[in-house]
Amino acid sequence: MLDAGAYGRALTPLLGQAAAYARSILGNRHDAEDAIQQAALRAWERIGQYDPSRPFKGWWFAILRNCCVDMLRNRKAFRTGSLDGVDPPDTAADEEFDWKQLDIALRGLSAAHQEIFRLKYHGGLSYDELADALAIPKGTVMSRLHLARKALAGRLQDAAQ
Amino acid sequence: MNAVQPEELSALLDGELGAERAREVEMQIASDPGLRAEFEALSAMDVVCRAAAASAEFALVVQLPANTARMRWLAGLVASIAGLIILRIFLKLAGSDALAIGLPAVSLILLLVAVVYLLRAERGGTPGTFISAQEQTS
Repeated sequence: MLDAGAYGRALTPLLGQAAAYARSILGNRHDAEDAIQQAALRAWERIGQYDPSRPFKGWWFAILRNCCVDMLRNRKAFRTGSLDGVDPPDTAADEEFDWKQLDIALRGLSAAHQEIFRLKYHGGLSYDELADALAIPKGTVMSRLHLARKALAGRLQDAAQ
Repeated sequence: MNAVQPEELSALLDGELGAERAREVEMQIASDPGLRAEFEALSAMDVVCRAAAASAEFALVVQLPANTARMRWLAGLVASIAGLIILRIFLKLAGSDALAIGLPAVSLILLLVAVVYLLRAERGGTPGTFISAQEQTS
């Protein structure tokens, strides 16, 4: 089992990608920070359940994903404005294709495709880590990610026309 | 050689195909203009999406639990001091003067070590508190 020092060392390199991942789901930096903090503590409380033979990143991102989902659910309970509980990013001032534009394009995909795409691109997870985080076989990761890419390509093509 | 499955193009792009299968897929891509066009389109989108996703990164600090190994060490130190004090009381009651003088001295030294350790911890934020993880930059 990891002690606090080892846990901190394992977690530290993931924070940048965790920030991008949580921000892409929650739509803003403040909530992303809260979700990451919550995930860091929740994972520490459950460190006894971590199997060191499996990728730490996949395990930890699964917890972060759940924290983000919980925050979205809480938002839905208290807000009525946003269609899916995500604050729409402000795109008016920025024409460059950045995470906000990518987020808008991703919202046209199915939930499963959005999920795997964000874990892959924002979280930087490998196929093994994706399989762990999503609790699906590696073969499913491969096909689902490919379909997500094709779907996104279609969305971007439509948007360009 | 098996025909290339569509998802194998993604796997090749991500470096997730085995070396042998990756060579086979690359050969088929090289000889099939349709496959090549599809792979190039996927590659181009991959570059754009990676850059866009990376633009969402930002610097942050998270609070992590205290170092439990150090906490255990400190608990052991405090238990040792308590043990020495109890032993001294027994020896005092038994009338052994030499040890009754030596043991308080050892207890005092250990107590000072514990106090210094706690003061350093207070400044460095190590045991007994929450510590900050290293800040990440985007």
